[in-house]
Amino acid sequence: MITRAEPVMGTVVSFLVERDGLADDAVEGLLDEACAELHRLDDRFSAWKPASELSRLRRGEVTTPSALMREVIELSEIARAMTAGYFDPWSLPGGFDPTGLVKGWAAERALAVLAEGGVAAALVNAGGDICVIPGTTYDVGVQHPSVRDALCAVIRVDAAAATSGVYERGEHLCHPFGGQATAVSATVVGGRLAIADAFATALAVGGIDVLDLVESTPGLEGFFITRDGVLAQTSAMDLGRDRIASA
Amino acid sequence: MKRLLTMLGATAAGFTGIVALHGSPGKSGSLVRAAPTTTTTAPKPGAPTTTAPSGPSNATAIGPLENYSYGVMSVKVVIANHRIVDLKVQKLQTLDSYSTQLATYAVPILKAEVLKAQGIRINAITGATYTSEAYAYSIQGALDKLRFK
Amino acid sequence: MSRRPSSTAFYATLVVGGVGLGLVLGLPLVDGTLSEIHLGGGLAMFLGSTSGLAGTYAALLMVVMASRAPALERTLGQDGVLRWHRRLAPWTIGLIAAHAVLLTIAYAQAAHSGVWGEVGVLLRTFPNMVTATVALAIMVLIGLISIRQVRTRIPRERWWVLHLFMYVALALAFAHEVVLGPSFVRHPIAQYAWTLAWVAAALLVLTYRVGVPVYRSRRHQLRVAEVLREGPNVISVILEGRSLDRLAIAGGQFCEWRFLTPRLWWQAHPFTVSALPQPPYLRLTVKGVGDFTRALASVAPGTRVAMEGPYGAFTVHAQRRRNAVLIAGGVGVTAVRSLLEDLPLKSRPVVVLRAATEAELVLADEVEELVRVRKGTTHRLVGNRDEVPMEAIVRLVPDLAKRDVFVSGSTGFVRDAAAAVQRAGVPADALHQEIYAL
Repeated sequence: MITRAEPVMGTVVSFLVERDGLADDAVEGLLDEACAELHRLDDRFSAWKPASELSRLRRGEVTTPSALMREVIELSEIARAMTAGYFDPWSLPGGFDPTGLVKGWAAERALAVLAEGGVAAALVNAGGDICVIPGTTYDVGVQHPSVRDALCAVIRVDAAAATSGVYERGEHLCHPFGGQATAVSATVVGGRLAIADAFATALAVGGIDVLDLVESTPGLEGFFITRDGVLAQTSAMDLGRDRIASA
Repeated sequence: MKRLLTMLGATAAGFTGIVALHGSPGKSGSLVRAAPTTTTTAPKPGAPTTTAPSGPSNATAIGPLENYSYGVMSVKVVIANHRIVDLKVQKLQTLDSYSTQLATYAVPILKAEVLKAQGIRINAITGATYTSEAYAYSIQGALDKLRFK
Repeated sequence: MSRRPSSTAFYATLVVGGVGLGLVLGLPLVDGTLSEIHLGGGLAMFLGSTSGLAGTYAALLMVVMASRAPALERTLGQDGVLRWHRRLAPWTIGLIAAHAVLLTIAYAQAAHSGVWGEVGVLLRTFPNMVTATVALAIMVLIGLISIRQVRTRIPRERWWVLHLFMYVALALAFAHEVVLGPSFVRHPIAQYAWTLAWVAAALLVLTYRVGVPVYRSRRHQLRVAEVLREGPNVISVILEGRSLDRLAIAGGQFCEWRFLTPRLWWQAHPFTVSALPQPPYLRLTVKGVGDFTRALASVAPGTRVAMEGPYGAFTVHAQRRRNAVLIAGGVGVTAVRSLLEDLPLKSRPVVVLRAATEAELVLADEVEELVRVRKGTTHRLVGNRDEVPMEAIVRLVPDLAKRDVFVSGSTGFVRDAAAAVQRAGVPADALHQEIYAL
């Protein structure tokens, strides 16, 4: 197992890679490449860097978006439609801001670098947005929303998982139980990470309404915890309690 | 009148005193909020370049203090049988913390259970918060100290 | 104006109180509440935190004053302590009520939910919020019965017992303050300081309102020896007790008395000691209009009596000049009667006794005798206010402006007499008042 933690995109992206016959150097090289990809995407999609393509697009300086930008716009449209508008990058002040989805999408592209280089099993965790190379299942702990050093679930991830909502009093919130968000913690498992990421944000905002959407979307499961400490989940969501109890 | 002025003066003194003593409020919050653009992002502890094939079988290390948006945290990592068996927030300072007052009803708290169940190996932790980033940094720092890779 | 306190101590007290208020008002600025003011509910949160802190601080001051700690009474004056206690009361209850309303609004705004729904959420989710809400209800009820129009319809002693529930409310509210208050959570110094302040206030009250009175009552073992009728609605109660030579009481002071019968034990009444102890006896004289005085008239000899006090600054210790004039309206004569005992021989006091009728001139003979021994003059004036104007009283004493003036009587009598006396050139620090509110 080779690990790396790369500070990029305003968070830490960590990698777990099974060597499986690959040379250490080869894996390190692939990790370098994956990290370089993340930095490239950060340069292009950072809403904070004035020179990024996204910032220029927001200022109206871009007439023909790049292929990557068109991909992100298209994904944003899909995500907006799938979440019934609860995730809407166009509704934010300052214009189009796909940040809620770009991190997951970028993690997937970094993971693709590893997979194309011959890695058979790997996990990329971009500040809680997790994707893995299909074929291996990883146990992912979901941080408990109020007990700092505890988990509230151990979920099995064989594709992607994302958590949204704010545990601490983050910038979206001013109050313990969630402020402007309905859920203090919302997790969506399955599908593409970019979509799961968008759904997690939507679930945190929309609560039970969005949980119904998750339930009816094939391949996606999810749960959220309200500010009153009540947990609601989709029917096939596995929170790991049984496994842990029997282990 | 003299009494009123005395009272007001004393009130102003107490008021100024506490504000001055405490320092400017909300500093850490605004600092990290600006983090994505500036170099104020917490420095990455250690250099995760070399790879030691195996770490110690049993050890404990405390990661460095990391800033997160509302304070400072450091994470303690306990390893047994080549596995992370405990992650503890060793030090956490917040401006204030209603969140610690949160009562938990139906939400499971998996902690002792996870440790007892050695069969469960947590590969990653999700929770998209500033804390989790600081958490990740600090964990990584602790792991680097142990060369647990 | 009662005994003049040392002005250094007085200003030191003002400074301590002011600094405390400043510290408390500064807390929401440094605990992070201010930095969130622009967020949803942030403004209400900030205002609510501030009003809660200010209101509870006012309550703390009220409790300290209610302790009647002798040092505090010396500094602020006994009437000053009471006056401030009363003045702060509406602020305490108003600010705390505003705190509850504002914070509920703040949480509802932050959560984008309704205010009523948020009440349920607050009660169900936060620790100690149920007790805090009970505390709020008690405070509001006490506030309601203290509104002048309501209060005048409730017997004084009943209101007094009800208002003691404020202590229960403050105790119930305490936990939510330190466990939930952004100024105290994770601010251990603020938390300890706040806790310490309240423990100190509680100790003051327990010491001076419970401990010392119980100790004195046990030491003196007072019992009713005799009940005498002095005049219309005026009775004297002679008490018999032990070690009365060790009871440090000055003429003009009063105590809170409890007659320990099954019907009366819960009421404490402030009655002036009309004759200083002549061991083993002590005399109180009471003018009453209510049930209590009727009940008192039939209290059997041998009934045990508990005391709290003595209180009051209407004593010779307040005197600033060589000579004094004592002006008593009606039952105000009781304080004047015992104060006279403390005046030295040859002090040539002038005493003016006024009553509406001859029968109401109680204790007049005793007063006259005490004055005669001191080479002074006694004036008896009978008639209502139109027949005996205040200016007439003032004119009876030619050197009035050179004397200390002690005035005791009903609220209206003292107010009018004080005004007349001041018009005659007596400065405020030489004027001493004792008011009998019936």
